[in-house]
Amino acid sequence: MIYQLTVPGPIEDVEETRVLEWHRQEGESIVAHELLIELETSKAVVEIRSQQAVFLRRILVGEGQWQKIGQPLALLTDQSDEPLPAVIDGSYPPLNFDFVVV
Amino acid sequence: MNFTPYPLGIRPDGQYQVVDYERTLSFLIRFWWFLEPANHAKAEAEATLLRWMRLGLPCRRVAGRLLFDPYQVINFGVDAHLKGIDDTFATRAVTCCRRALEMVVAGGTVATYNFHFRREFGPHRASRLRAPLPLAAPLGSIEWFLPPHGGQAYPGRVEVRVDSSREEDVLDYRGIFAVERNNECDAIPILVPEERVLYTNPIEGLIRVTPAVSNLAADISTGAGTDSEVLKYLWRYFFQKMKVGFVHPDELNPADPMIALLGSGWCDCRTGAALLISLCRARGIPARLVNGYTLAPGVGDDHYWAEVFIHGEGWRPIDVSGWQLAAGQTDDPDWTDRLFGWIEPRLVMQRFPRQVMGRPAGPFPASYYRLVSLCEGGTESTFRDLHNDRLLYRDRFSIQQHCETHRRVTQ
Repeated sequence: MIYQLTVPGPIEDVEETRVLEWHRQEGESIVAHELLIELETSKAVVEIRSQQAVFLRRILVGEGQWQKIGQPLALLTDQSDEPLPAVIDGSYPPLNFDFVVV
Repeated sequence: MNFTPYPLGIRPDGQYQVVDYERTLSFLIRFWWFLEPANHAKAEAEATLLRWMRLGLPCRRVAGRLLFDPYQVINFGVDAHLKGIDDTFATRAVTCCRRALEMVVAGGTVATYNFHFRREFGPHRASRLRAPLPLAAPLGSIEWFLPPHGGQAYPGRVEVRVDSSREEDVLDYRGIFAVERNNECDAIPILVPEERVLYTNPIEGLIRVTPAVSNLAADISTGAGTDSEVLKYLWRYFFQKMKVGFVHPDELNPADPMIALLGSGWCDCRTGAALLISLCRARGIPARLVNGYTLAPGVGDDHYWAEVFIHGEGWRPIDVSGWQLAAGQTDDPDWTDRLFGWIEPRLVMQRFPRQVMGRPAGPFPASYYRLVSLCEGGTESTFRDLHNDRLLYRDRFSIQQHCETHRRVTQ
């Protein structure tokens, strides 16, 4: 199954988030609860950890770039070789994750 | 507008009256006597402060100590001038600001500035510490030099990860900024659709295009034909309506901070720029907030201004501190429009909302106060939590200027 990493909205007074650092690279496996990405809004720095083991397949927003709340940051899959679509339409189920505000 | 303005734009309960006499004097000297010899400045500033207290300057007496809100002190001085009961604002603040501006633009065609930035952090639980780094200058060149283990440079910021190996939480760097004065970009930028959306966003921090702001902007610009004319009408309205001093942001109504600002009649550089930007965006004119450092030798300081995009002209800087240069006069032929469409060379650190440093450390309290004083070669700004006096961070920015002619600045 393909998942998309998305920061769900609405968040009061927050429309966008900046990717601070990807802690994994495309193609790598993600262990449940390990640090995947650090994001930043105007209010906080947030650490995100997947609740399940997945593979990081495609990073859609690079470090230093901004993405609107509710729009995908990355695609992840259960299997490492699961085919990815040529066109990303943002309709994939959201990856369940835990977050910590630091 | 259904809003009861505070006297001097500050809540009358005195919650920010926490600064002692000496530090209040230092604050006053930094903003009104910053080019005067130190002994002379202190003597005059002391006499002025005592005179204002007799005229009714609010303060508190706690355990025999006098406590002030430096923001309220400055606003009191500005207000006293406008009411014709004390002219120190005109004879000192305005005079110093005009001299500082002319120092920056005087001299040769090529100016080189050596600057030093140091940020010291107070107790925190942050995972990342940051200081601003200058953005690229279109009409000059910038180099900066980070010390070993001094952090990682990113666009617009230097950043360190916090770990136990760091001995002190300080970010410190030096740099050189060279700019060719009296030069202008040949190409007029074009705004792509995504940028137009970005810079007309109705909600961005303090920038709020509420229905009240929209209605006001429409009223102000009645009769204006072009965006350039609209901008001029908004600038004139700003001069007529606002006084430039200081504002505590947490005292603005969060539901409509710009209408609250208009209701109080007071703004500072950041809130004043946000107001102009809000009014511009309400008329569909792209506008953005810019932060950087002024370069008056020995007194450079953190500052905010607006940039407004006019089709066919590009981004035009608009700085509300022009109100101070004109002492609030709407018809001074030399000063009223001095910072309308032009500013002197400055170090640009942030262009909101994307080219931003982000949070300097951990969560910033909603209520904080700022102390400012002269330090060797520049300005020291200290930010403290209002409720527990915790040091948030302390910045020192110092600047030296060298001028020469003929040398071509390479980018």
